[in-house]
This record gives sequence, C-alpha cells and structure tokens, in this order.
Amino acid sequence: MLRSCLPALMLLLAASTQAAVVSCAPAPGRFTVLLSEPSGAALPDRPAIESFLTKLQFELDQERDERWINPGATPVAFRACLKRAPALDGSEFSADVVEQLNDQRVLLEVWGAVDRGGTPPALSAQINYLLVPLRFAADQREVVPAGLQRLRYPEAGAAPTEDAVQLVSRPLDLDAFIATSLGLKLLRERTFDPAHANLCRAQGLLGAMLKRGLAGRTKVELTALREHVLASAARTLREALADPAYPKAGLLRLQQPAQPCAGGE
Amino acid sequence: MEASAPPPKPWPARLLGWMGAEAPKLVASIVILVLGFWIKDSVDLAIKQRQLDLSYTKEMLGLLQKLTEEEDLDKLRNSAVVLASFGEPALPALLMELRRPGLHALAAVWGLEAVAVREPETLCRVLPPLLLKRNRHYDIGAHRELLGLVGDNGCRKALPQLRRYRELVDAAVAGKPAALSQRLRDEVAAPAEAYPRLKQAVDEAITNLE
Repeated sequence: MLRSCLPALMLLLAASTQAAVVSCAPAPGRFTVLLSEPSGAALPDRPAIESFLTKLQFELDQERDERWINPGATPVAFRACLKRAPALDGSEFSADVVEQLNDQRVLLEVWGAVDRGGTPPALSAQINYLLVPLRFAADQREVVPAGLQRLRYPEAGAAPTEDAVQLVSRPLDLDAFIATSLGLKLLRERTFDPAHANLCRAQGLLGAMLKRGLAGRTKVELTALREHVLASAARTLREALADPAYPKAGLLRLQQPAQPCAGGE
Repeated sequence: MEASAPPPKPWPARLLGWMGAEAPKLVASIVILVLGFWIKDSVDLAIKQRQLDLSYTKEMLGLLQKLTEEEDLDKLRNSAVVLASFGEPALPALLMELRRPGLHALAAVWGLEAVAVREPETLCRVLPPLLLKRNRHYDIGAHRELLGLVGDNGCRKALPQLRRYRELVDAAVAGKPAALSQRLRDEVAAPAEAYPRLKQAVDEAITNLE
C-alpha cells in the first residue's frame, strides 16, 4: 500500500517544495505587473526558466502596443520575479500577502505551468492571473468575482507553437486583466478619469475574450468579471459626480451612470 | 516605711546599658552586613541577567541571520515565530524586520503576534510610543500593523496615545497630512486610499480597547 502511494507522495512533496513565494520588489513609483516563475516540463531547469522570464519581460515591455490607459506619470511596468514560484492553486496569497501587494501598487501577478505533450509534441500552458485589487476587495469582505483567473493556452483552434513566450504573452488577455486591475485600483485611489477609461477599455477587451469560444468555469468567471467591471465603471461615475473635489469641467460629467461606457472608452 | 523598688527597665535599655560604648559599633556592623548582602544580591542578579542576555544573543544569532538573509515567506515566518519565543530580547530584531520592505515586514508581524501571546504587557509598553515618534522608521503599512497589534492585545494604557494619533490621521484624511507625514517613512503614493484605511485601523484599535 505504502509502496503504491510512494510515487504520488514524492510528486506531492516535490510540488510543495517547488512552490515558494519570495520577495519581488515592485517598480518604484509605478504600477507593477509581477511575472513569476512557471513550473512544468517544458522549462526543466533554472537557465530555461530564467531565459523564459527575461524574454517574456522584454516582449511585454518593448515589443507590443499596450491597450490599457496609463494614468499620467504613473505607467505600468513589468517585473520578472526570479525564484518566486507560487503554487498553481495560489494558496500562498493570503490576505496579508495580498494587502502588501495592494499597498505596493501591484496590479497583477502572472504565473502558471508550461508543458510539452501530444503527437506531434506541442507546448501547452495553464496561466494564472491574480488580479490584486479584486482579491484585496474580496479579503475586505466586498462582494466581487474571483480575483484569480485561470486560462489554458493555446486556445481552441489556435495554431500550435514551440515558443513558450509567444504562447504565454497573450496581448488581449494580459491587456484586459491589466486594464481591469488598473481601473479598479484607480477607483479605490479616487483617480476617477483614468479609472473610468480603463474600466471601459477592460469591458471591451473582456468582451473580445469571451467571443473566442471559452467554456465551463473560465467562461462563467470571465462573464462575472466583465459585469463587475461595467458596474464599477458606473460606480466611478456616481462617486466622481458626488465628490466635491471632482473638477467642475471634468469629462465624466458628460457620462450617464446608467450607460457608463456609452460614450466610448 | 520602706521605699518601693523602682520598676525594672525594658530589656533593650538594659542591653544598651550593658553594652555601653560598644552599642553604636554593633548597629553599624549590622547595617553594613545588610547593605552588603543587598548589594551583592543586586549585583549577582544583574550579572545573571547579563549572562542570560548574552546567551540569548548567541542563540538568536543564527535565527537573526536566517531572518535577514532568507527570502522565502514560509521560512521567514518560521524564523520570526521561533525568534519570538525569546520574548522581549527578540523585540529589537523583529521591529528592525518590520522596517524592511516586502515579505520581511509580514514575517515580523507574525513574530510580534507570537510575542503578544506570551508577553502582551511587553508589547503594550513598547509598541504604542513608536506610532508617535518622529523618527520615520516605519511606513504606513507597518503603522497599520502596529495599530492592529496594540488594539488586539488589550493595551488600554495606550488609549491616550491612540487618541492623539487619531487626531493626526483625521487631519491627514481632511487633506492636512503634514503632522502624520513626520511619522511615516515613505511618501504615501495614494493618499485617498491609504489615509482612510489607516483611519479605519486606528478607529478599530480604539473601539477594541474602550
């Protein structure tokens, strides 16, 4: 009996020893997206993992047009977090850890597992996106959708790839989650104009994600997230209009909370 | 008629009379003896306390090194909790960790909570004054944690300090953060979010203690 359980126990032990949350300094004075180490057979050793993270950070920082809206002098930065490898179930993200990430203006933490399998062999990945402001709100007992979104790649019908960076650096998904987190965080910080702009942008991007044939729990959670984003855009308008400090000539005065994103993003 | 005999003197007077000029010397000797014993006991106690502190320091050295160099959250928490078992001598190290950014500060809070289980009165003596000091050692997150520790551990004597602190936080929420800023390490990046949360923390602490 014990002998039959031994491989499973060893696997469990290996998985538990691999998962580790270490400090990863956010970008000072900026909103930050943390890119943590993935697990999985496609990245078997440390040089492979480090090379992957470095390329991913470069790809996300330099090689693409971002679709969220940076709030003035506080742009979003990506940080590769070497040796930071959360468990796939996100169990390390306790309320105190999330509160600290929220204090440090971390918007999103991305990690997951990249594997190789099938015939012919192809890369596949499960990527976790922890939307920090959303999880923080849940920890404060606010009623919000799941702060941890999990997606599988390649998506249905997409061409297989041998490049792990291309597989993971999904512009649409990443931009949708960054715009969502940025909008929610800016609403909490009462910076209404960019909060509203990002929430409306996120609503459009999440809608585009939902069109690509997602199924099951992923679809349910993304749908709930989109509804929450739209409700938050309406809340942004209401709070801005009720705030005596909001400028008399503020652009949000032209919007209607009943249709918060009707005037375009 | 025969005169009645005078009543006998009390025994201390008879003793002094019998001792004559030697009495003051005896009293002085007794005083010196008592003082000697008292001083010797105090010195012995102080030496023993010093020896204990030194042995604690030696035993804590390894844990302190782990706490300083380790980066993994679970290991940091374990080290902080074990360090906390030394009680008051561990407080300076835990408070130093609370000043550090990232996961070290979280581990320090665990350690301080562990100290509170054993010695709440020590925490109640040490923590409240830190909130009002103008040394700018702790960031706003650490201030929230300190408030939580004070409020959760029955530090009723800290109420006047907490009320004074709440005045500073109220002023910051109302757009006058200068006095509070003199107590915080870093500039607050998002005051509209951070100050109301600090106010919530201080209000909760005061409510817990009233």
